[in-house]
Amino acid sequence: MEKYDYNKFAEKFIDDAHNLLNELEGKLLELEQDTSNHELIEAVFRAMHTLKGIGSMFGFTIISEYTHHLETIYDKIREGLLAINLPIFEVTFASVDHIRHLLADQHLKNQQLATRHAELTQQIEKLTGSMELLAPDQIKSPEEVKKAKAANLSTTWYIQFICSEDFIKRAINIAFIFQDLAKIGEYNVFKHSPEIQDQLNEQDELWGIRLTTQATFNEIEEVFMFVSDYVKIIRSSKPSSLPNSDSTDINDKSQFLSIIDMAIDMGSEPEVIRDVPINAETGSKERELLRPSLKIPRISVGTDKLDKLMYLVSELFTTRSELVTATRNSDMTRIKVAVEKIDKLSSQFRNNALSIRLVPLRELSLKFKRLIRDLSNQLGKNIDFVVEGDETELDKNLVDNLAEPFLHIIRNCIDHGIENPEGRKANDKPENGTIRFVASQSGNYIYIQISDDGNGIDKDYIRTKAIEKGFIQPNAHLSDRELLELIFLPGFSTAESLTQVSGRGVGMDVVKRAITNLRGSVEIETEKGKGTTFTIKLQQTISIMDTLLIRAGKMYFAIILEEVEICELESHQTLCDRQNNHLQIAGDLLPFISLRNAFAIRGEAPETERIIVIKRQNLRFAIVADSIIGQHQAVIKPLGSVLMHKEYLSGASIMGDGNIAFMLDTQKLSQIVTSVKESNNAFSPPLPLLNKEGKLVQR
Amino acid sequence: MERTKNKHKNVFLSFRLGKETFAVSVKKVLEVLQQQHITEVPDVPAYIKGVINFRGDILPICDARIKFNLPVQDNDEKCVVIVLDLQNNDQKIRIGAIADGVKDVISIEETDIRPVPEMGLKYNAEYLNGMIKSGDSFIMVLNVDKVFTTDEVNVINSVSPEQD
Repeated sequence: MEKYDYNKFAEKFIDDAHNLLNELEGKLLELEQDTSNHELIEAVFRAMHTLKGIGSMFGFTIISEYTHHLETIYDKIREGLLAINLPIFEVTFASVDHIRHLLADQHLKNQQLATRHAELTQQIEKLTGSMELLAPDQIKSPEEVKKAKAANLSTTWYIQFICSEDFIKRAINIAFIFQDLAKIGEYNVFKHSPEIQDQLNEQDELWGIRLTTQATFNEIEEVFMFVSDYVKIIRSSKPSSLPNSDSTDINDKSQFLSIIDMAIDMGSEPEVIRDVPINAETGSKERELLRPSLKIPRISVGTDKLDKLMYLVSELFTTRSELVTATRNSDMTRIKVAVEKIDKLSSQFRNNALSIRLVPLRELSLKFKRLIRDLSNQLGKNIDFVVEGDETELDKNLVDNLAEPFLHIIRNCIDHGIENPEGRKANDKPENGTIRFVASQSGNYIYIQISDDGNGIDKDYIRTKAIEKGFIQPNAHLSDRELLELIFLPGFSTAESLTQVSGRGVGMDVVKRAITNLRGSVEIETEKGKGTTFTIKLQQTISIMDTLLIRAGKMYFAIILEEVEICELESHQTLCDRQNNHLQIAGDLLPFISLRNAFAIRGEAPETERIIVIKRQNLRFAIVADSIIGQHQAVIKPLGSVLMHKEYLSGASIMGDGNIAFMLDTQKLSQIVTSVKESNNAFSPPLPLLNKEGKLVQR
Repeated sequence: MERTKNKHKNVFLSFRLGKETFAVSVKKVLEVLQQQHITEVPDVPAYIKGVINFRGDILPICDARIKFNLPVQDNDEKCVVIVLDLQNNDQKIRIGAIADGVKDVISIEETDIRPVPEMGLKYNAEYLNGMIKSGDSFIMVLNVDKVFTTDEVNVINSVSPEQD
């Protein structure tokens, strides 16, 4: 077989294995909460078993063996021979991490990893206790118990898996096949020894699967339905019980069957299993080749989205030929129709493309579950983790980049927020602390709240600390919000004692920076003794946005459409007469900002100006412009470093006619509105507001 | 052109700003654009004329004439934009610089570039890499990395009161 193809295949295994490990971890966490749940035990066992199966298939022998040991524990648990307890969980969680490392370094080249491997293996052995750990040649052993029960009815099947180039190209997920196999019976996978391979006279790579099951031929066939071209299912002459190496009496079997039996036997011998598809010489090289390609991040996409994509592609091609024909016939009406269709299609394409990039936040919440479990054990705090809305979807890029800052927030919650059980009792709080992770979507925005019911942040302490560190003057007057903002400053770590968990100098400034880089914002609310809430707001996707295009003078501006509440008309004169920059719109008195004045745009304002009411969370204000152009699907381009300090502009977009429209950062504009309202002191550079004469305030 | 000869030569693009001639190393020049529609940007220093759509990206346009306090001619029609790739510390910056016109591509021996005199020059020596004698006049070789990455508007040496 070609090396390259094999690598691709192994890469797929690593991918699948990571998914399996995530699934396993999730189930383990659930199981820890509900130790008597048999279904969960089964699920954990199955995940391990599948991992073991596909592991040996791809020559990840060490992983396969290791998982086998681990699986033994759970097999004993489900047989009721072993009670589930904390040490078991500890070892299992540690093993999950360990296997993740093994996936990167499956031959234990790293000495540290090798030591760890030995350590863990020993721990597992201790747990399995009297039951001697079986060498992989008896890989069937955990299943043996089960099999013994059904021995009378079970048959052993030999399934030959032909791994041709063609099969690899089809990129079938064999993990599913093994999951299905596990449902009908016990199986193990082995690699044929070279001599068997010769005797079987096959050109392609072969794997053997030994299956012991009560299922009928048809049922087995069903499992292999999608890969039926690549498998041969043969009923083995072997007795259904575990084949022993000395039971190779061939008797009157045909030569073929005996070869198969030999194959089965050889397959169960450790030497053969170790004879992994990669030969020793090229092995390490291939691994290295494999590594860079591993870095390509993958994403799993719902088939509905792909179906939609295919539908769109077909529509596009139909419309394209319509357009070609119409152009040839110079049929303007039909050309117009086709162009309209393409217009519609392109926005559907955009939505589809963006939706493909979306992944649920669950990916993150699972990680957090694990972190909270480990940390709370470590710190002797009891913490419940409540997750709500983790099905909310977010751009893959965002999710990947959020893990770090979120972990940091959660670490802080556990370490500084939640008190130890005694402290909580003393404060009349339930002994278990709670950390909530709540996600919700509002329009194009995602709100994520991470909150704890701990001590809250001591504002006086922040104040003292800030003065001490020279961040603020001792007599500075700061609002609560401003005071809390201080913890986002670099070098501001409020941890009273440096603990291992947090307060290592990298502080909340990292969190703030990471989230700001993703065009998000983070806010803190805290109440002493009650807890702290971090609210993170993010745009679901950041590349293309629906905007409203407006004009002031010769300049074009774009506002995110979802922030626009209503558009109104008002005469220029009325606006000039408003001395306090407030305007009555639909019964409410709203502050307004004139773009002409704010950006010192030359020229006379039209007699009637447009009022665009912006709604941001709990703040409403109005923007005054010359005219409204209409809707614009903006591909947002960065302004570049020269213009980056333009606070009120968050980017630019090139319009259909080649002109450039600027994205208004309504967040920044709203801050001006509030600061004008609160302190009558606009941000620097001072934003000129309408003066009494309604003339430009020159800078 | 022969390569061997070029090895010791530096190639410059010379351009006009008002009545004066400046030069910039061609290594910095990406493209020269004619008659661009420049979109004004609100709330920026006067030497930033605006932005243009350059190959689908937003390119800020600097007016070197304002930076050097040179008269700005109103016939923008004749103006060209020289697209420059600048290096500021570790940052790469792409900008467009307005010029009243490009003149020539000149190839100069390293030794023909004269050092900037310390005294009696109306431009800040910091912004010049040297001078090239061309007939009776001098062409000033701009240190574009410096000139366009400083926020300072007036790069004219304030010590010298001399003006055009």
